[in-house]
Amino acid sequence: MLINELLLHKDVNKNRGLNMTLIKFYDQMFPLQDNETVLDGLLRNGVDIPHGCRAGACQACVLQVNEGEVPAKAQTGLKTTRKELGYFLSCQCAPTAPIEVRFAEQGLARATAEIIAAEKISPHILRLRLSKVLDFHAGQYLNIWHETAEKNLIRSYSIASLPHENFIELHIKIIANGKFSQWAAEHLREGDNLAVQGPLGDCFYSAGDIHQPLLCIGIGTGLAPLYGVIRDALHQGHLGKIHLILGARESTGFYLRNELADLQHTYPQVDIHFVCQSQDAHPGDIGETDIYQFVKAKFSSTKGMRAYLCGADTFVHKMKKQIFLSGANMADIHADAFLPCS
Amino acid sequence: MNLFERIGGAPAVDAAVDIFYRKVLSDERISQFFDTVDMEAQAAKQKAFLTMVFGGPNQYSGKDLREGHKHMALTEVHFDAVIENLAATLRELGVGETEIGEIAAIAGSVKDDVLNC
Repeated sequence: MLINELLLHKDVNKNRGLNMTLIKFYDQMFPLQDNETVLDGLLRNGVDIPHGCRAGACQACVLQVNEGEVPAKAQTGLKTTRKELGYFLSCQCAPTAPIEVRFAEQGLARATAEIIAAEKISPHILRLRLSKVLDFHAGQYLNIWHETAEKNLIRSYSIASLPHENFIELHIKIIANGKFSQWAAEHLREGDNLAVQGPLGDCFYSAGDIHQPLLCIGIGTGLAPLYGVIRDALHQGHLGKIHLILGARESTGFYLRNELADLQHTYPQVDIHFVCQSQDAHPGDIGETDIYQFVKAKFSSTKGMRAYLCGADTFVHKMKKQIFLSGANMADIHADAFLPCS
Repeated sequence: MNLFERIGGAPAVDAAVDIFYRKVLSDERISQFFDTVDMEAQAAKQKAFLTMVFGGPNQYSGKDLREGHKHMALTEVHFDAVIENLAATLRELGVGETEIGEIAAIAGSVKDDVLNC
């Protein structure tokens, strides 16, 4: 629709003997001069776009495209997942056809989802399945809004289901004194409605080298996005080894054990390890060690691997550094860091 | 061809940034300055730095460099460590000694601003 509108303007301009490329930015339209970049065009017209090096290096000027094509050069250096979401470097983008652009991560879809199922799948995990009211990649996250008399509680949860499964699965860790999770565990029932917003985040699988080894490491409900990412990778035909290392303080912290055993049984490329710190009585397949040490010993070099790291932010940042220093490219490290809420 | 083109332009920066960042993070003399929580933001800064010293288009000014580094109490030791890591990165990538010399000269030209002299 919008592109037609833009093309129409281009035709008008052509008829006037001009050959201008138009860009649409929210409700405004700006003509670009010959070879002018989107960044320069917007700045020239008084639109304030954050920018830095103007050399395609610092990525401060990143925007997102709504409609139209951006030249490949404008996405150089961006992660594959970001490219798929239409992110581009406005300082490197001199389009030859009309495009519509916006600030990155703006315009989040909001929707009301119905709870299809609410079930405690472990003493501390509530699994919610919601009607699929928005498009997503497995491993992205969404915000849930809980409006109370005093204030709105907004929490982000990662998506463990795949788009074609036709529901949104979230794993909610029930925290003692957690305002949101306590409310969710006590009150949310099948048939209730929830306001959701998203999806967000770029921690998801994108096809590329289907033989590249994947290294998925998570603690706690970091399993939710990883469970989504891994099954999505398998669904998309990933053939390389898929390592999943899960950590917990106590062995009771693990969940979805049967589902994970099935996954490992069905797909020979999947290799799963459980690592827990405490010396409590636990089944024999759970290793008793520190997760950082375990990963260091098992993967002395991570060169050429693609990593997905999910869980508490302190864990994610420490593991990210470890994985990077042992050889993985920064662009191959995807992370979903869970932030603590008050 | 100018220096930036000779060493391969933006793709050369991409190739260098991970290697360089890994080296400085592993160098006890300077790792504390690079060990920030947001690794992507830190890597982006290093990309901008490498683009500059590779003779590429950039918008660094002496004032920016002064502002950005003045709270760090940097000394010659720190500056030399960065230059060493930079040269080692370039050698690892097969960049010729002539180009390495030119790059080191560009990096050296901002020394007073970085060290706040």
